[in-house]
Amino acid sequence: MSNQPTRGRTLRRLAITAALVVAGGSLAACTPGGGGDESSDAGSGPVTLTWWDYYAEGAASTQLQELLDEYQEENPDVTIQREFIAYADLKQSLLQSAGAGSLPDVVVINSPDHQQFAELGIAANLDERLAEWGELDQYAEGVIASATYDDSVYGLPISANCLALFYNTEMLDEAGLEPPTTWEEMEEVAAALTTGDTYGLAYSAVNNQQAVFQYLPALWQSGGDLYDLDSDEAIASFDYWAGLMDDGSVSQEALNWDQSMVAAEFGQGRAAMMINGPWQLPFLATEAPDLDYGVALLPAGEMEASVTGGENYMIMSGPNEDVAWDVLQFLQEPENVTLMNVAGGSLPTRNDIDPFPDNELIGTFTEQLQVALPRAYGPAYAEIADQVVVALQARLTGAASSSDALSAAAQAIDPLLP
Amino acid sequence: MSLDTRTTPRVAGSSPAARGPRRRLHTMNVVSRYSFVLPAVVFLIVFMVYPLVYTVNLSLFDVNAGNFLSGGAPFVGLENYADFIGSPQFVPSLVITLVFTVGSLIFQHAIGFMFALFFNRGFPLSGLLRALMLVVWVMPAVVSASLWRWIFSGSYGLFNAFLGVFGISSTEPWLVNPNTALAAVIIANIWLGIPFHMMLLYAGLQGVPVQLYEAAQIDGASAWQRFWRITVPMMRPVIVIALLLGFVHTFKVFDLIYVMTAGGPAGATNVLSIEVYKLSFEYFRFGDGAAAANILLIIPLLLSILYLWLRRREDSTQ
Repeated sequence: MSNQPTRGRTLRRLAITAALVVAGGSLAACTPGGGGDESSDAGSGPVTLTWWDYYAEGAASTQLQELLDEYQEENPDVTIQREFIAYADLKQSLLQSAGAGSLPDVVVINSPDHQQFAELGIAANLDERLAEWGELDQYAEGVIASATYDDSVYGLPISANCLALFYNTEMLDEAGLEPPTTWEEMEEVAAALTTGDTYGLAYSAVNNQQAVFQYLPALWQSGGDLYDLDSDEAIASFDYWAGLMDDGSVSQEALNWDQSMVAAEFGQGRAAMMINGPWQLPFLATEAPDLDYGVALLPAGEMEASVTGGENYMIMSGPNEDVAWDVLQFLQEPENVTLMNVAGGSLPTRNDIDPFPDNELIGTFTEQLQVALPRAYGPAYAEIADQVVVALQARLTGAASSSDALSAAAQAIDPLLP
Repeated sequence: MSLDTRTTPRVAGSSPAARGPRRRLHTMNVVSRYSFVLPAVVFLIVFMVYPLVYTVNLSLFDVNAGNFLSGGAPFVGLENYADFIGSPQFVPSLVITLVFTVGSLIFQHAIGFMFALFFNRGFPLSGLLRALMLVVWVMPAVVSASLWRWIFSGSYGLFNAFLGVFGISSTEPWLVNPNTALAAVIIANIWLGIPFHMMLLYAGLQGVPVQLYEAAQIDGASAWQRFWRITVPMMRPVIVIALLLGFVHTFKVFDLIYVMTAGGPAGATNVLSIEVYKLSFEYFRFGDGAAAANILLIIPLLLSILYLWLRRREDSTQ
């Protein structure tokens, strides 16, 4: 019995310790991120620009650093502090820094996210500066459209791309097949190329926007659109896209693959074809230098279609806008754009340059670009895309039929579309 | 039979003449006592009360991308809450969260209890092994989640290779199948939570007097009886605390699921915390996100209050 009080005390102490531990854990999870930004002097004095991008180590990152170094050498007053922010954290970090009033000065952003930040009012309106600069007509309309919100332009492109079909030349030759040009041919060729450990086709159906990026061409090829997602056309596109997985021509693992993992599967010969973009060309060149492959246009359904994507430079509103604009102008000089396009595997972002003379693969992508559409679905695109992913994954896993999955998604996205 | 030997405080019979300086002493005592509490109070206000008040305030306005920074969001009362509860995602999300929480908790606790009993026997190197088990708990959830993602992947997953040992050939991608994804995430979370329960229960076991077991053994009680008649009743407060804390921090698990499945496939692991994250940080619907966050907070809070209330009632009847 003399034990009773000791036990009570031990328990209480235990409870307190446990409570503290739990509280500590949850606090650690919300440590604010975001870098500081010291300079407020927009005049002639030394200026430090904070620069955010999500480029992992690679050709594009190195090239960008070289250009920024060059700029800083020519402009000793300007220091550019480059910070890596993981793509998945970018939106949250930008919001936090906006809330804390310490925005970075330049951010590299995925083009469909650009309008969302323009709507938020933290991106700098470039209209006047662009008018004075006078080079905007050197850019494709679709590329500038992704950086446009309410008729004002908020950024310039760093890269542009579209999706096309990569094929393993060796595997197709062995099977005596040509790259498919229609949906029916795609179904046949993909099935024929599926043998043992190799799948006929690889695409990404991962649980984020990338899956929608990959699927949208199929929707447009059917003649459908997100505005009318429960149409027969949309159902046909779902049946085609998911049918490739039903047939076993696409691995079920595609639901966990982002586009870089799709490229890795293709590079290692575990997929005979893949749907992907030109930014994988530098990756394949370094990681699979012996791979013999070609690029063809996406197979057509009722019509031909692809999707455009890319990344933009976004200048954030703040005291350093002018300096940031000067850096941006430097980066948009034709020879610098050429360097960045080559390093990043980007289609030419300016009309007056030719970064890849006589490159057949890039030539196919450029041809594909003629029928490629942008994801111009307004600032709520992120939420729209999420609903489409849920529908897509429900169909791919057999949890719902095409029409059930699509009518649920159509209902959910209806109020979100512009 | 009281063992209390404390003497009655002498202050009670102090003379009026001594009161003056004593009062000053008393005031100083009060000041110093409160100054000890001050850091904790400041900490709580800055890191707990302020964010809470801010979130509640935010949840009552229609804050979105257009007016988040510029201000001027219209007051909408409880509309954000009604919208969230009425949204088609809410009920499935709540069910998934509860299945995840209860499923994790039962196994974490049962297995943690077994480990605690095991370590309580005390054997060579048991201290070292116990410390090693904590590594699991100390490891960042993102690291464990990536690990489990690989374990449950299809063609090169460890779990499928393990099944292969028993002659079951499987290339099932467990995280991709909506029927198995939730179970896979629960298994990962069980693994993650075992050390927490083990630690609490082990410490509790230390407080159970050995004499009780000795007496029971003399009376002929079996090991099973000793466990249910002595260990469990003596450990009841620890068990309840472990379950309550476990519930609270399992209910709001985010990082593990976000890394393993991001709520997919097709929403099969879309717990409330993921929904909250998406509303605020992907869709920029801050008012809705705040309301959803508060709903996520209220459920464990109600449970904690219920526990405290039961505890108090129990104390007062004793």
